[in-house]
Amino acid sequence: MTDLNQNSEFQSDLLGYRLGLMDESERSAFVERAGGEAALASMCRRLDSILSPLASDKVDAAPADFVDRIMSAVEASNGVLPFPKGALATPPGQPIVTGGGSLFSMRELSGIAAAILMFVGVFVPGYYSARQAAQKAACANNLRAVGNGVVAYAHANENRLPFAGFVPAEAKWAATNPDFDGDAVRNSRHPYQLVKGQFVQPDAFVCPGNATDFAFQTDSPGQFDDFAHPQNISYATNLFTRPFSLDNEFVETMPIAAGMTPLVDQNRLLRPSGAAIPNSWNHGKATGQNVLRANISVQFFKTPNCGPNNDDIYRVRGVTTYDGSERPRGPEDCFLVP
Amino acid sequence: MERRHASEDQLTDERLLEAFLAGDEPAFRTLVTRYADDLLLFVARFVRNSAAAEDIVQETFIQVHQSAGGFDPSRRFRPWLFTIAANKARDHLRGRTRKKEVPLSLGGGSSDGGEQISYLDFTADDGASPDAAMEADEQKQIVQAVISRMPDHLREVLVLGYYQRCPYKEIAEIVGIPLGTVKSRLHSAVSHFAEAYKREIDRRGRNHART
Repeated sequence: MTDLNQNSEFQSDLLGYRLGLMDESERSAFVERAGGEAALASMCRRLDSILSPLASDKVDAAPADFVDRIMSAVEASNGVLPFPKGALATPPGQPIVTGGGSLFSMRELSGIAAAILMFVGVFVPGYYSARQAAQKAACANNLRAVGNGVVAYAHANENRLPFAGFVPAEAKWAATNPDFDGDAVRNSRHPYQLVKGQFVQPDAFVCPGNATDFAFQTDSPGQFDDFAHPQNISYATNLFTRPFSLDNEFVETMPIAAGMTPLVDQNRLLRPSGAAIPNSWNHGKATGQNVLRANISVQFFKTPNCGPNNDDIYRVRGVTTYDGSERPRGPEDCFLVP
Repeated sequence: MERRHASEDQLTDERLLEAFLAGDEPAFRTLVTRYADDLLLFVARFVRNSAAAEDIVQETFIQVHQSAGGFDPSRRFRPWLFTIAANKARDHLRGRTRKKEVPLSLGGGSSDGGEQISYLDFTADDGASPDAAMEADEQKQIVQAVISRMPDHLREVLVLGYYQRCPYKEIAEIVGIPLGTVKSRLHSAVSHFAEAYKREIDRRGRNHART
């Protein structure tokens, strides 16, 4: 039988045995090594005398409404706000009633509504243009952060651009409808390498002008191979089917990322060709997009024809109808996809 | 609806998460109901602050809700959930104002392995257990103080191993360390506790003798 006092590995195993932390095979092997259950019993008594004070550490049980509070927090985090009770039940045309009684008559409400409309008409346009300018600037900063991450990644990876693995020739880069079950491979796996390697924070991939996108939250980016949700990345990036090097394969002005391509909708599903718009919809009214180039400069363009030789950064040369399987035509055909 | 909830209660965690991802929101609530209490006990013992623990558990479920799509279906849900909670708890502990820690020498040995002091060195062999002479409240205070002053990495495995009774393999997954390190770290944690607890008992005993 093992001498209990001389073998710290044995003592660790004894702890695991006593607390039930071992799996069955490990437990059986340990019992055999220790000389049987009876031999272990006396050792366990000594161990129990050490462990027994720990049982007096009591912590408060969860409050009765804890689950409800968690669910409310979860809902709030998704932007779902509960309607005040009573407001939804008010029939149209009746005064709004909450709990106690009538607060406003229809005439008072009309006056207030008119005042609000006037306020909105005067101040909101200015507010929105200032807000959009701020969002464009923040978006440009995001792309600069991504660009710096690309440079850091390239230094650590033989001057290559972020690459997550080869893509089958027939694979689609976008699905056409929510039930699509074909072979679609998300291109965002490549830029995710910047998050995985902690070269760029996940929130840098969310354009502040795109209200429905949200940052990927993870404490362990290395555990994942792609953004958890398509809306965790607001930017379209080069469609990579093979690793690309920054050496000689790109002209300096080659766009490598820009606002989300207008070929897809907010769920990153391919739009019908009749619904095509020229620019990214990241910023209000699709007036243009920030573009990150291979030389890590960022500029706002009002047209998608800002690639080499006025190439449309969102479309393949000569292709007008898209089904998600297109590939760029040559090294100077920039084709940014979700 | 009741029938659906009843059957949801019997689904595995992974199937519930799958159902939630397919649009079944109540499945998420079932997961929250299943784990909220357990997770709170773990986090509260780890961070030693019940208000902060409630916040951390809330944040954990928010993250699960948002990141559910990134869950690797080949893994088990429970360790994933506890990993997220443990990461958030560690962030909280890193961010708080550090209390002055009482140095508790373990004879120069590494806390994760190597030459260790045995917890058996602190066994009350003479039968005169200090527990008998001590009020339950006083014992509780001492234990809480000793656990609170423990290094965070030792307290984490002590809580997972002793209080949560998580299997070694699950602890390794949650904490992100090799299995052997889990075993030696838990051994260190128990030794650390036993030494600090005995020293505190002795100190109080001496104070009583003086008065």
